[in-house]
Amino acid sequence: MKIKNKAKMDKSKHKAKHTRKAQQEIFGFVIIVMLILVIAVIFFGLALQRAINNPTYEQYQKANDLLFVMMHYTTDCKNKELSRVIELCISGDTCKIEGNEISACDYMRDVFSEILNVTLGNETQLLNRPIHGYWFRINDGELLNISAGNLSGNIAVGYYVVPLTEGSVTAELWLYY
Amino acid sequence: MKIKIKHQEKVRKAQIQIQEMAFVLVGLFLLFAFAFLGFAAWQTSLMKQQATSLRLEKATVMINSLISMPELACSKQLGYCIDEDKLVLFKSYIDKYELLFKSARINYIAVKRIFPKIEDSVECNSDNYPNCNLHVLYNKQDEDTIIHSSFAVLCHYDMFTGNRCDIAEVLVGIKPET
Repeated sequence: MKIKNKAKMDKSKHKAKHTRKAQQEIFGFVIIVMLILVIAVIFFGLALQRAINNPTYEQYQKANDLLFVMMHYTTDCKNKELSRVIELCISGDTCKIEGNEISACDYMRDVFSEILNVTLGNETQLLNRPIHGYWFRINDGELLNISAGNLSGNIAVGYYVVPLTEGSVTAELWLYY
Repeated sequence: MKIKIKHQEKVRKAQIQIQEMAFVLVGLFLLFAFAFLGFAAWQTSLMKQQATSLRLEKATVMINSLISMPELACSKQLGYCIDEDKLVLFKSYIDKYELLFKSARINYIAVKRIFPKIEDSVECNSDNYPNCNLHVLYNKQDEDTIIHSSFAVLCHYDMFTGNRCDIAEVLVGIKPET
């Protein structure tokens, strides 16, 4: 009787040992799978972060080009370039436009706004994406600060230093696309 | 008899263990294969982005070279400035530059005045110049042509006001490399 019970106990111990071993192996396999999944998730997360566009040569070039051409546009204010009208604004001068005297600063704001609205229409694109907003300022916004559209998303920035008789001012153009 | 049964059990156990090992190996192989496929797809998209970026950079450099040509550039002003009077004359001998444009894969060149704005697109000729807004210098574009643009100053001499500069867009059509 004792021998039979002992045999039975040995058999059940043996079975339990087997089951435990199988469970350990499955557990080990699950750990490997989870490790690989975690590595894959981290990997794809990093890849997605790098996929965000960084500004490139073409993007800055467009903003800088536009600033340059704006500054060299010949206005109706004493037939001076827009960069010279900035100087008139600083000195508090006026412009005679179609017989009316208006402040050089007001005229400068109107012309810059008009140029930006016309040049940055729906057709203008950066990296095949339309420009949907802009922010333009001269001398950190002290002389001029205009913006339009949706000011969010990717940004391309251009700078232009306007030389004056005494010193200089900096114009910044932020294009949002 | 007992020994035989034990031996058979051992063999079965070994077979099960080999089977388990095979499943684990297949599973691992599949996982690594999926990971590699994902990595390859990511690398391909990265390369496509770089190709687009390089193509745009090349186009910008080409447009700047075109604007800087002495046949078109303003004599006094440095930078992105086109002399409109030179531009009108350039059209008459543009065919001498066909080989240059072909080698650079350029098949469309136009300069469009965008400010002050003229509502309708009026192509310039000797009769309506300077009361027009579009100079088409070279046009051999096809369906593969991609148009790139850049801003430039467009200056001409006016006998009443002197030198007058407007804002223009230089349009260059480039055939992409296959």
